[in-house]
Amino acid sequence: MTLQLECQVRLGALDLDVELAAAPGEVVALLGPNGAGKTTLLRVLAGLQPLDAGRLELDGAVLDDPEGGVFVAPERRPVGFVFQDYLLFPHLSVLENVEFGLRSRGLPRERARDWLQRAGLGRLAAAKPGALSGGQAQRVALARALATEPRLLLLDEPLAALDATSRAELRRELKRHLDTFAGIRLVVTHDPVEAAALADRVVVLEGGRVLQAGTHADITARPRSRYVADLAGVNLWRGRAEDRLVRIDGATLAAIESHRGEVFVAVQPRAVALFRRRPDGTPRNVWQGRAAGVDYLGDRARVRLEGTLPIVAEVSRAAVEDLGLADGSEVWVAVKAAEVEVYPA
Amino acid sequence: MSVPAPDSPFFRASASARRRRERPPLALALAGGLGAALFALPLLGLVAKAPWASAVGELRAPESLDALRLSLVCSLSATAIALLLGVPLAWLQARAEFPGRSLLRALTTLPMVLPPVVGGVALLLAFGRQGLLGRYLFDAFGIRLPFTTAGVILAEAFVAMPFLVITVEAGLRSMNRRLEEAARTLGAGRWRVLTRVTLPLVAPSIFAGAVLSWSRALGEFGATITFAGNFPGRTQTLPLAVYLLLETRPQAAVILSLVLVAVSLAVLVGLRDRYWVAA
Repeated sequence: MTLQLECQVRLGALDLDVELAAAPGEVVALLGPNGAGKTTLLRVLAGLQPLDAGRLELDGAVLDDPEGGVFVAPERRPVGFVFQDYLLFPHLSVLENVEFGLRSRGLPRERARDWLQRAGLGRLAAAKPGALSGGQAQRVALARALATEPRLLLLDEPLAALDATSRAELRRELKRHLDTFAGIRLVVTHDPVEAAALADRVVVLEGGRVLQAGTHADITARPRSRYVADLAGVNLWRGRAEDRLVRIDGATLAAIESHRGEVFVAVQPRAVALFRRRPDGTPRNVWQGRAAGVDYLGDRARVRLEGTLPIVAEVSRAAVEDLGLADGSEVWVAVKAAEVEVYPA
Repeated sequence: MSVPAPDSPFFRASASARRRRERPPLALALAGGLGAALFALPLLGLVAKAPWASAVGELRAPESLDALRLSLVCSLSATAIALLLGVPLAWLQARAEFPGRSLLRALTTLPMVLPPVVGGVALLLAFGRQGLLGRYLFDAFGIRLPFTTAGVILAEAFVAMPFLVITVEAGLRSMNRRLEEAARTLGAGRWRVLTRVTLPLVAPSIFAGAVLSWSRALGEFGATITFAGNFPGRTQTLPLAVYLLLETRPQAAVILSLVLVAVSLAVLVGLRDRYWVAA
């Protein structure tokens, strides 16, 4: 069960040009800001949006190929879709909603009850969607999509419509349900926590292009865009490397690895140390900065610093108090060369 | 802080302020009242002048019963035709992309603003013995539409169908089309999507449109008398009977008029809150 997609679609302001592949049983998260083309990509896979150019293949069967004149209608694709707003049929009961796909695909509709039981919805079989809570509606939508036994399951921001308190619990539950499904799963999200929790691999989509793909750890360690860096809370710059030195605007950072040319430079906020006086220890990168804002997260504090190289440092709350940090206070910033991650742009 | 006593000026002032706020401006109230009277007075006239004592007798007179029966048969048949042809037409207007769609939409709503007599003349020119299509209908199949009961049904459908078409089209346009997409991803072909998702979801609009069409067909006069004539038992529906009886037995005309008023009023009261205001 493999998925192979070359996708070119123009839709209003969106110019989607993406290649995507998924291995059997893989869970892929599509991460990106609004308008990046994530939902359109799912619609292409489901057949709700035909390709302008490119090719879509699932398990060796061509589903969309404009050049070859092939387009398989959505109802004939082995694809399940869980929509962001669930789109349960309001005129049908919960059970009839789940039966809908089974009957449409000519499968025995008795299976619907099993799916409802499995989703813990047995007692709601006769309820109308209007009477369900957000979490229940989400489970019905998932059961409805899984009941048709698709080989590719698409989930468009499955948790976005839920409030924060139920989201964490439903994320675990969703993960459990997704783990029982053997096909390829594609989850659209703009929440990196969700991406990390649900997916084996993350594909970052921005402005209709794939900017980055890899495991969640890879992507947050070496972000390739401001969007990902902000999501991961990592300091990111672009610069020019010459051997072990990287020039970023007016500043220079020393690294351990040697590079040449255009590079990204990432520094984890936890790797940034702050001092009241100029430190005379081993750190290779030392400069003077000015505190421009402190945000507390529990007993940690993120300190925004201005200066030759603007940077965010994460230190303990106690450290902020020891340093007597306030907006505008002068402070020395130190980063070990070993903590400066340099990679080609 | 102490609470003012119930009879203190504080409460009286606020109570009268509330009353004042609810009272509409005088000029508006006067003009609006006059407008309401314009509708109410003729009805009042009918009710006041109705020969209640002989009402049952007038209704049971053969020509009244004939007209009643004919009106029911024709208006229900016209509604059936409107449903059969109007729902697909509304679907095309709401969903299909084709050149001349706005022209088609104008064409299908034209009978709503056209003088019904003109509609009747147009029907004669199309379906009459010498008409555009009527000629062939008669020559080939011996079908004659003008001055027949079928002609009444055709005239009523012509005038009433637009009400169904615009109501159903509005329903189709306002429904969440992504539900249809959801159905397709679940394996439903276009026909199944139409019958299991689209039509059930616009059922309230279809029902409202059918009731409106039916009441319009029931009251049809101009197109009917022009195209189908006024033959008792064959083409003389209630409105036509009222018009004729006004000359010979005005009391019967009033009773039959009241029947039509009662039906129309019941339809409007029944539909208004559920389908027009809420939608």
